[in-house]
Order: sequence, then structure tokens, then C-alpha cells
Amino acid sequence: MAEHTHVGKSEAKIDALSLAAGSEKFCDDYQIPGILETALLTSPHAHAEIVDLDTREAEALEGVVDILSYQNVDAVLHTSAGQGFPEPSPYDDLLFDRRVRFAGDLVALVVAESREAALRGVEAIRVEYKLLEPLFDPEAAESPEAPRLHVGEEHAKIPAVYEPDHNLAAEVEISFGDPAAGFADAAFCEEHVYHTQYAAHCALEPHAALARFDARGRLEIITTTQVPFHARRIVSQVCGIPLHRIRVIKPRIGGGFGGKQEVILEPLVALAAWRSKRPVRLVMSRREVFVSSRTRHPMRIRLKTGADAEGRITALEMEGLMNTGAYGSHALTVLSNVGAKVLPLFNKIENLHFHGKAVYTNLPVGGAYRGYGATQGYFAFNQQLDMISRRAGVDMPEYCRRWHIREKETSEVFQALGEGKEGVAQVLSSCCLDECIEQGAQAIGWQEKRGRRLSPGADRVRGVGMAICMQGSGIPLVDMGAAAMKMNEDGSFNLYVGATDIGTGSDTILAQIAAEVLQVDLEKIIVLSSDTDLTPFDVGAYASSTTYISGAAVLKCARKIAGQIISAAAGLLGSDPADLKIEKNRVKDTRRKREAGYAEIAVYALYQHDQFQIQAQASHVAGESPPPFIAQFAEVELDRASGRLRVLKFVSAVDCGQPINPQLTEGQVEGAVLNGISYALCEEYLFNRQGRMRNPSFGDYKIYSPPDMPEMVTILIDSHESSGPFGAKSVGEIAINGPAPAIANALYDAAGVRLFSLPLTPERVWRALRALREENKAKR
Amino acid sequence: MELTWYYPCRLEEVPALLEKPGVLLHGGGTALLTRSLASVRGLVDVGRLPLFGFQSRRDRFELGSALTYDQTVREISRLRPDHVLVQALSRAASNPLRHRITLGGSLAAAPLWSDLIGPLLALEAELVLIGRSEGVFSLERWLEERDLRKGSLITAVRFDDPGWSAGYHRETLTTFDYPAFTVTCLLRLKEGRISASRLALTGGKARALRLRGLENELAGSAAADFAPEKLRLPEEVRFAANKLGSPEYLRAQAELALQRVLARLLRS
Amino acid sequence: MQHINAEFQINGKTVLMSFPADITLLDLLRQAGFTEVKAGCHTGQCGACVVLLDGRPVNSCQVFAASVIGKEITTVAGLGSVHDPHPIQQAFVDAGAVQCGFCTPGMVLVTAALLAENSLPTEEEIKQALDGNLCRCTGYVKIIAAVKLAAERMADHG
Repeated sequence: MAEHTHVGKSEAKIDALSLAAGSEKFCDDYQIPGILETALLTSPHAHAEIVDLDTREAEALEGVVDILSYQNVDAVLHTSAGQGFPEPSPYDDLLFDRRVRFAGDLVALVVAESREAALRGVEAIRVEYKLLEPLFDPEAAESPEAPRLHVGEEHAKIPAVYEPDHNLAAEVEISFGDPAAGFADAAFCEEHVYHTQYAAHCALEPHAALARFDARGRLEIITTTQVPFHARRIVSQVCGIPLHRIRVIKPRIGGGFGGKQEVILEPLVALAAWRSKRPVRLVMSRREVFVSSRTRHPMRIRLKTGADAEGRITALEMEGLMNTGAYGSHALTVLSNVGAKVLPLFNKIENLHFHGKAVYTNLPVGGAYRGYGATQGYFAFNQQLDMISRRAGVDMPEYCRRWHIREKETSEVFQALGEGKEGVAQVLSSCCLDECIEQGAQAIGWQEKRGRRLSPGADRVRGVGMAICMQGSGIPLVDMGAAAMKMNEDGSFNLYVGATDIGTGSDTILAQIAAEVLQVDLEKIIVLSSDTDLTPFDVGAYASSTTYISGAAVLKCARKIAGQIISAAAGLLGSDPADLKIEKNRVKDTRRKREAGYAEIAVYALYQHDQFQIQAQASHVAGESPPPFIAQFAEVELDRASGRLRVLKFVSAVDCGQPINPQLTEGQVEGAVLNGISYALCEEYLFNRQGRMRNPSFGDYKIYSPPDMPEMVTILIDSHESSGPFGAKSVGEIAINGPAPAIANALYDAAGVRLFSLPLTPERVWRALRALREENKAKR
Repeated sequence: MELTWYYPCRLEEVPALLEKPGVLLHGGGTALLTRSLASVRGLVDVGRLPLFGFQSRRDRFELGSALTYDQTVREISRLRPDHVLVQALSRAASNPLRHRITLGGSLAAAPLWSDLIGPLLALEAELVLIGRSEGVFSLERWLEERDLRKGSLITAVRFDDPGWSAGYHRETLTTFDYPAFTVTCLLRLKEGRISASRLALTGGKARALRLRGLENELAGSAAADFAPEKLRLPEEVRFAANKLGSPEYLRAQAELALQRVLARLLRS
Repeated sequence: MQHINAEFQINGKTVLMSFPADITLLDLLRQAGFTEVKAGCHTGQCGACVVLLDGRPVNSCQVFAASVIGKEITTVAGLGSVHDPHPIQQAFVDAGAVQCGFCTPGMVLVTAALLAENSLPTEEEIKQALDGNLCRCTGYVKIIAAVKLAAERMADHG
């Protein structure tokens, strides 16, 4: 294979220096004279009807310009989920409702000359609530006595199970073979109930949006979004503003991780601006981001596996109950993914039953969060693999090697389970999971450490555990990305992509793909992304779609440009296009030994003869979603007396096809891993009895800072996906899935204690150790 | 609501300023920013007052109240790198906060999670006050008598430290975190026996506690005979649940921490 | 609210500001156009708003502007620019330590303060210095590498 000049190279992120210098603009950095500031009034109650909302005192305050509430905002049912149209999430949300469904639900927006005035306005609004019985337990949601959250015109937009009468926001079920027979055939069964918890994305930049008018009265929305095109569509739908009068621009984004794949603030600023005809800004406080934006869906998964004596799984039953909170944003799709991204990994299971339900509760709302259901599913699945392999007497790395899906194989689950509808069958053309397992196991020191319970000193014992996972590369036949390019006089190119760089570096890797095709230095590719007026469509940054889908669009587009360059060069050189070849910054006639530089060709095309603009565009939708694979290994140290579990070392070996930029790829893995580790050990939402979050701050909701880091090793396995741009698959999500189960498996290795609920807090571990000691004492 | 800032240069100006209604002291400001300023009419910034001194004469230490945690750590570690205040304050809060939190400010706020109070309690520190209350007061009195705080400025913190061996533990979920409790142990050994000890626990229901009963038990015992697992926290020591865990769990951890800090000290 | 008129030294220049008595240094700086100072939490818990105050890192959201009149304030823009980057900024670029970039100004400034005092810090010392700077994108791996790279390069150049 030819050596690449850009692909596979760790070129500097094109905005790294400007970000380090502080010159890039994030949403809240735009200084717009005369901009109105805002503040949100949110509900203190988990479930209530608003009997009366009196804004007179607030409106009379100096500086208060407008107050939006159910009293003056049209009730347009929609979903805030940033998904393609028609959205697979139910239309169950209003901008402002007379009913509030969780503590933190939006009640009013105060628009004022200053933030202080807006906050005073919020204080002055008088709301009279009639409290309704709240529903906090997802297990009780479907019972006839449970309070119902959605009692109006809420409906599903696509044919999918949606029964708000039973608080059922989504339901998915697939079945193959004969699970009952499979369990009967089994030599042993393992059946356990796993619980995963609420989590916050904790992107450093709080959610923000601003709306302003251009000179001609078109509305320009600058917003912290992962989905600019969905935002434009949904703003138009919800606010009744014609789509062609709306422009959505994504500035630099300070992290998303799924939390900004949601259209919450944009309709609010759009309406406020539309009413006042002035620019408006809304920045969520950190507390509001924790409570009133979106979260990871908590889940209860009952997983039952039957296996023969060698560990071959004869039947698998996964039954999940997902808490979607007060609204069903992403409910169906996250739920589907629990099965869709997990079950194909072990594709030799003939008897399989997956049944999931998502129910409403009067608690914060679940949404898109890196991993998107796979994270929850793998916590259960990989612990089960650890148990089965132990019982079968097979070392887990070997066990995984025997049973995981391979190249040229498929799984019935691909076809059966899509995101909210039927999926798409596919046959894998790349899977280097064996290599991932082998290299990862070596890097953690598996042979030397597994089962040894090495002890560095009094009270401390160590163990190792592993997990294997797959994810996807975009949603097949659904996700579309497009690119456009044009050439400039000096042989540079503008690259316009809808694809949404939220800090991931997608602008850079897409430029690398173009630069590879056109054989120019990276700085000759000028990227402009995510502006609904200037760039072509892209679904946005989610489903790990950018490298695989948007990258393919760029590849196609760059190739078209190359064709035009050759055609213009043919004219300039008097050559036969068939003899012409692209080389660095120039075109060479291989037969007549003549050449022309890009600049010369561009000037010729623009100014001199048969003038035309060298420009092209291309779109891409994929017929498949080739999964990346990962094998992750944790070495933990347990303090037996205190229950403190510390991750000493964490290894991730990932197959994402050809990494376009290894350094950025590693960065994706490392960030996801550390997020996964703190999710496993200490992140949780604590609620009081009234359903209010008790810890909505970084002081009380803990994520790791540098001294908490374990040693982290990232191995990029040599792989190539023929359907991907230059062999690439995506990598944005996968690495967050393995830490929780790998750590849980390592805990078992260290101490013989297995925990089924996250997070693995010190107290939970301590209690489990005590219970085990009591159990052992009783046995003697 | 008008808020006026005062920047006195001489200590004599301060008492009168503190008698004005709604006037508070401002050290680093971090405690003030956690509360509403709606009722505050004035702030007296201590930045220009002579409160940044550090003196150590023989074994008597005197620290100006406007010293930040970072400055305190630097000054003390020059003389006593293992001093209990170095151990405690160098890990408190976070790097940028350690450059802002002052000794005086921290004592005035005296939050449940303080990293300062346990060590000062064990050191039997005294506070020098001017204003409505003038003179030298024990830290214990400062913690008990809320009235002392009204209209007074702490100018200095004093303690004697003849050379205690010191151990400190703060119980947190992650590194940058408020401690659920802290344990401070100061020991003096003479010919292999514990000649004196000072044990302090903060974060429990009693906020800040000297474990005098345990200190008496330990007095005179041989270091070699110390069996950490036999040490028990007195019955009365109770905890309220917090994000780190239940009362039962916290108590067990505090007892374990005390056992381990003492064991570590006695081994070395 | 009473407005105070006072001068600050910001990135080496004297800047005259008029501001309410209770404003934080963070809000004052951002309103005055120093938007490179980021607001992540307003409670001193994320480190995004760190600036150097007389060379020492502080959370500007936890500082009353009125209490630092006349002091030297350094934002990341005072360290270097895209035209003339500081070695620490360049090291962050080269080590791949910048993803979304929101935490980067704070990280860079704490690094500057650390290296001014300790030119070849150990990994432990680096992590402790950065204990108040959160990042959700990078897992800190390349940030630590960037600090080490910056230290090496700056030591080399004397």
C-alpha cells in the first residue's frame, strides 16, 4: 500500500494553537452590542400543574423586557432530540407547559437588559402550583396506579411502540431461535440484575445559544450544538419561523459528548429575539446544565445466559428497563442500542431474546450520551462473560477470542435492531479484535497478574479484569454528510462541511482526507464547517458518524476536484487527461514529462481560457456501519479494610480501521476512558425525597482531575476497513464502554466480590467485602 | 444596594469599620462568594494591612491571618517540611484556591470540611483578635462562641510546636474534593514511648473534636506495643451522612484512618 | 450599585475600568473583551477561569475585582498569540493536548506558573499543580505530556 502523506499522520489540529492562544470564539464569547440577557425559571417540584403564573411584578422591574411562558408561547409538541426527520423520539415536549414534570423543568424565560435584571425578574415571578403525585420508581411506572406524566396529544412520529397511558415511552423486542430450549440445554445458567446510573456529560462549556438578526432581518442563531441542521429545522417547527429565515452557526464548542445533541436553548432564544427584534443570549448555569439539560439514561438490565460446559452460550435473554425521565428524548434509540451494539458482538448465540422498555419518571431527562446505550449494555454483558468464562474454566481473553464476531461474518441482530426501526444487515469486512485482545492483555500484564491477587502490602490486593466492545460508524441508510470544495488562485482549497467539530478535531481530519487526495499541505485546505447558510448538510456529531460518513463525502468531493484539476491542466498543458497524474501541488504529464503547478492551473481556469470555477460537492450515506472494536483492561488495587478501589493501569487496544490522525484518535480514546472510569467509580445523581438533585455542582458531582489519573495506555491496532475513507472506521464513542465492566471484573479478580450496580463507590465495595467476610465466617 | 469597599492600611482603622452595619471582612473572598451579598453593605479588604507576617522564634510560630494556604505551606515547609500544616494545606482544595484561601478567612467561615481546623486544634492554636473582642483566644473558644466573630478581626494565628511528629488524613472521593472528615495526629516519643499526643477529628457531628480520651489512653504506651486494630473511636463520635457515605461507613473509615495514621507515625 | 473606577495591569498594559463593587474578576475581564478567560462553573471548581494574579494562579470567578486593583493580571493571551506563541502553548499543540480547548487557557496558565517556579517538575508535581483544572475531553494524558514537553524545551533554551 502506498505511504500516505496525511492519512495516518498526527498533524497538528488546525485550531489547536488558536485555542491555546485564546483567540477562538465560543458561543458566549461573541460580544454583541445591545444584546438582551436571560434567566430561566425552573420548577422546584417534580410533578405539578401550574394553577397561576403571575408575571406582572417581574415585568414591571427595571430592565426586564419580556417574559416567555405557557401564557404567550404557542404549544407545539416536538422532541428536543437532535435526530434526523422524522425523529424516532416521541413528540412529548413543549417549550413551556402548564404541567411541570421534573424538578428543573422549564417554567419561564425572563429576557432583560442585563443578567442581573433577568435574575431579579425570575425571583419576582409568582407561580402557584398544584402538586401532583410524583413517579420516581421506573419499576412502578407501568402499573395502573402510577401517576401518568403525559396525558395530552403526545404521540410518536414514526411507527413505534408508544403508550403514554402506561408511561411507556418506547419498547423494543427481538427474538431468535428458542431461548427456552437453549436454557434447558445449558450446563449452567447465570442470571443477574445490573443497574447503571444517571450521569452528566460535564462538558466544560455550559450550554449556550444566542440569536440575532442580520441586516435583512434573517435570524442568525449561534449555538453550542452538535446538530446545527436539526436545530434549524426544529426551531422552524417549534417557533413557526420559516426555515429559510433561519441560519444556524456552530462556533467553537467546549465539548458535547452527546449533551449538545439536543435542541433546547435555540427555540428559546429564537422566540425571544423574534418577539423583541433584538439579539438575545441564553447561557445555562452549571446547575442548570446538570439538572435541566440531558443526562445518561439510567437502566436496569436483567441478563440471563445459559452455557454448555465449554462456555458456548446456548441462550441469552436480556431484559432492560430504561428510565427516560420526564421526556422521551432519545428513548427509543438509546434503548435499541443496548441490544443493537452489544448482541452482535457474540454472533454465534442462536437463541436470543432482547426486550427493552423505556418509561417516564418525574426525574431529569435522559438524552444522547457517548456510548448511547452500549455503555449500559456492556456493563452487564462483560461481567457475564467474566462469569461464564470462569465457570467454563477458560481464561477470559481466550474465551472472547473463541466466540466474538469475525470478518466475513454477520449477526441477525444487525438486521433486526436498528435505531428505532429495523436495522440494516451487514457482513463485517474488518475485525481485528483478536489483535486488540492479545496486545491489550500483554500490555496490562494479564498472565502475570490474573488470579494472583498480588499484594503490595498490608490490606491491599490487586486484580485485573477486561471487557470487549463494539460500537458503530454512523447509522446505516440514515446518517448523511456532505461536503463542497472550491479551488483558489494559489492552489489552496476551501472545504465546506456540515460536519460538526465539537472539539474532536473533525475539521482537521476531514482536511487531512482532502489534503491526502489532492496532495497539498494541510494549511492549503481552509475549512469552514457547520453553518447552515454556507455549508452543505450533515446530520451532525453523533453516532460516531463523522470520520466514516462525513469523511467519505469529503473523499468523494476531493476526488471530483482532482478530476477537474486534471481536466483544466489538460487544457493548459495540451495533454491527454489520461496521461496526467496528481503529485504534490502539481499535475504531471507522465508521458511528455511536462508539469503545471496548482497555482498555474487555478489561474488558468479562473482567468484565462474556458474559464470555470474548479468546485465540487458530494454526499454520502452508507449502507453499513462497520463497527470499531476495543479490548479494555483494568488493573485495580483494592484496600480491603476501607473498600477503596483504585485503578492503577488501564489499557485500551482499539481497532478503528485506519486512524486518520493517530494523536487525535488516542485523544478520543483517552478522554472516553477517563470518563468511563469516573462513571464506574464515583459519578452519580443524588436526589432528595422530592426528586430534586442534591448535587448539581462540580463540588458534589465528582469527575477526575489530574491527580486521580491511572496510568493509561492506548494501542491503535493495525486495521483497514475497505468501505471507509482510506480504510477508516469511527472511534468517537467506543472507549467509554469498557471501563465499568473491566473494573468490576478486576474487583472480582482481586477480592471475589462482584458488584452489579454502578457506581462502585467506596461504601458499596466496603459493604460487599464485609458481607463476603460474614458469609465466609458463617461457612466455617 | 450599595456596596462599599474599604482598604485600611493600619490595624487601628479596622474596629470602627467593623462596627458599621452590614460590613464584613474580605480575605481571599472565596467564602464570601458562596453566599448572597444582598445584605452586605461593606467589605473590608485586608490586603493592605500588616497581616502577612510569618515568625518562628524557637518553637513558637505566629502566622499573619492574611497568609494564603499556599504562602503558609511555603513558609512553614522551609523550616519543617513535614509539619502538619504543610501536609494538610498543601492538599486542601485546589492549586488556584490555595492561592486565595486565607487563614483568617478560613477560620471565620469555619466550614465543616475545613482542612485547617483539625491541625490547628491539635496544635492548640490561639487566635489574636482586635475589634469588639480584643486579645488572645483559643481556637476552641473561637469555634464555640459565635459572638467572638462579630466585629472582630483575627490578626494572627499562634501555636507552639516543639517538634511533633505529625500525620494527617483527609477523606475524599476524588483528589479535588471537600473532605468528609479529617484526622490529625501529633505525637512525641521519648525512649520508645508515647510521651504526648494530640488527636483531632473534624467533619463529624461535633464538627471539630479533640480525642482527649484516646490521648490519655495512649500516653505512656510503648510504640512497639501499639496495635492499631485495637484502637476504637469513642462511642460519642458520630457522623451525619454525606456524599461519601452513611454515618456507619464514615465512622468506620474515620476509625480506620486514625489507626493507620498513628501506625504510620509510630513505625517511622 | 456603586461603580468603582480603577486601573488594572492586564497582560502588561494599564487598563482603566469602571465596574460594580461586587463583580468578579472573571465577569469584569470577559465584559472588557478578555473572552479568552472562560466561564465553566462560576464556583471555583473547574479551573477554566484561571488567570495569573501577580504570577500566581487563581480562579477569577472567586476573586472580587475590587480586591485586586493595581495587581498584575495575566490571561493566556498575555502569554502568547497565534503570531507569537509561547513555548507552553506550542507544546500543548504539539503534544495533542488541545481538543475542545475550553480548559486550555487555564491549563496553560497554571503550567506557566509551575514552570516559573519549578523548571523540571516530576509527574506528581505536574498533576498536583493541575489538581484544580478539569478536562473532560483528553483524560489529561496529553496535557501532562505537554507540560513535560514545555519544561524540556524551556530548559533547553535556558
